[in-house]
Amino acid sequence: MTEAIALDDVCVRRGTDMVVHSLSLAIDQGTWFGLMGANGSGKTTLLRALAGRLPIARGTCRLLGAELAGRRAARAAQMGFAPPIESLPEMMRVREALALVGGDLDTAIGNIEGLGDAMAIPGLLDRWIGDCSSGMRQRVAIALAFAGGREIVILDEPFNWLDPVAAFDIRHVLRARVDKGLTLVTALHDIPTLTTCCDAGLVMAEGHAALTLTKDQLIKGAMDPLSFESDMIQALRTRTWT
Amino acid sequence: MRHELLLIFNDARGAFSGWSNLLTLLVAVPILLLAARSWFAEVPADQAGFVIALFGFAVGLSATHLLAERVQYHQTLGMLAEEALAVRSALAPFAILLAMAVILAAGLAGLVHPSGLGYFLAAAGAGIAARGLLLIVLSASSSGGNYNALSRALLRLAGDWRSGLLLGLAVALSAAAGSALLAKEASMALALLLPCIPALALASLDAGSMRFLAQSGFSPWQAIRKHARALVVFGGTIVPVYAMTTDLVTAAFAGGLVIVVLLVMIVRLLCYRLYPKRLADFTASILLIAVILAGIAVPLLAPVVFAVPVVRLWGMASNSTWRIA
Repeated sequence: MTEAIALDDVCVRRGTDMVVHSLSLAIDQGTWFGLMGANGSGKTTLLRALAGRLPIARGTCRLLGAELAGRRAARAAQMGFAPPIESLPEMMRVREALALVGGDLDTAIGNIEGLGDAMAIPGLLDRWIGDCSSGMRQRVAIALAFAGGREIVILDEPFNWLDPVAAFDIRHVLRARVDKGLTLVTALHDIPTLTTCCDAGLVMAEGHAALTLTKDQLIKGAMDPLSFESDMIQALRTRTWT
Repeated sequence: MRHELLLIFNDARGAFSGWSNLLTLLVAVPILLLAARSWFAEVPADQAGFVIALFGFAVGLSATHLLAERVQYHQTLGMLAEEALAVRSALAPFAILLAMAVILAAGLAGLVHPSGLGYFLAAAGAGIAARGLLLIVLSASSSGGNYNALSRALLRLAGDWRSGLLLGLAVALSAAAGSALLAKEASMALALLLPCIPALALASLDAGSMRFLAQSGFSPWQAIRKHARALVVFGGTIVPVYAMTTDLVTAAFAGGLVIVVLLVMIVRLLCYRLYPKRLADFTASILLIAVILAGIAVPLLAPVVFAVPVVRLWGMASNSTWRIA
């Protein structure tokens, strides 16, 4: 299988602090990759650096075969990325934000495909983002990540704020999109989603890779969630970097 | 009040964190104040009074606006809602902060032109009253005082080039009618006053939208092209019509006015890409005050005082494209 993303010895700074340390990973095309870790472990920083929203301080980053560690804008142009809901513009309507990211509204809606219905986006189009609840903003942020029609999409904790029905529907549509060839990278906090939806994963601790998770491990985890959770917590506590 | 003072201190620390910024403040501001003082000494008293009064009105208006926004924030989203919702306990610290801002600005006005203090205080009072009146009108309106609705209407106006064309035609035709009916000086004054408010309305920007554009991959140039269209169409409409219906000098002044508003809009847009709204407004104000003082003291220096920081801001704003800190 072709690698969509390959990181080697990547370090990322946030301000003056080095937040991600010498991290290496490979993500195959057409897979759902889950990233887990404690608060402050560097997940968001890593995802933002991957998506060109932060510079990579050191290491190599290949996206679909091209080396882009030093080209932040090129990384950003290749990836769909859900903006943090607090940074969405309050004085814009949902349709305007989608049109900006997708080039025009019809293209954006076309790129969102089945997600639009799962997230009830048509009903939100004329709303001011400033009048949206946190759950609605989360749906808008996910829609924005897909509006540009990219092959790789990064979502940082996409199921936060969503009601159970929306979360369920969105998980299913995302899985279907991955099965059709999308490469999806998500930071997650819930183990069931990691084990049932993801094809591979990584647990981060203090900016390091603490545990890599293969498809087989995740399938076993889905069958025995308690042991899986216990193993993961132990890996985080012992901080044995892999 | 301690909360607000802490925020002001942190903002100032953020704005002048680099040694070069601090040095600029410590060296340039006293020099520019001295230069402004010498300029004010030479101009007729009524002219100096007018400039000081304009400054006072702007200080009163913007300080009240800022404080009204802060009270609303504390009453809804802030950590100190209980205190902010109790009118008496909320108003006292904010009135003190407002007084401090006015006294500080009055001190500066007094430094550059001691006899202009009266003009300053009267105009600052008018600015405070104007913004206060708007607050009362909005809170009494049937829409429940939705200040957002007004901002949104302005942003919609500014975001559509057809608004520029329609407003431009309306202003140009009004000026043409004035020129046919009024004496030369009066028609020229009318022709220069008419475009002011539409130009300012068409230069409306939303800080959140500017940050979103940056995060969505729009370069500063793309963002400017997108947001300046209505203002450029406005200028492009009034200048030729003025040239045909009034005279070339009035047309040139009107064109200059639109260019100044456009440049101020560009500075604000660049700052909004880089800093949170409050800090961005603060940075843009400092830059514009420096340009005005330079323009008063050594007019030839004003373009340099404007261009150097703007080039730097542009570089930083370009680097902010796609970025989420």
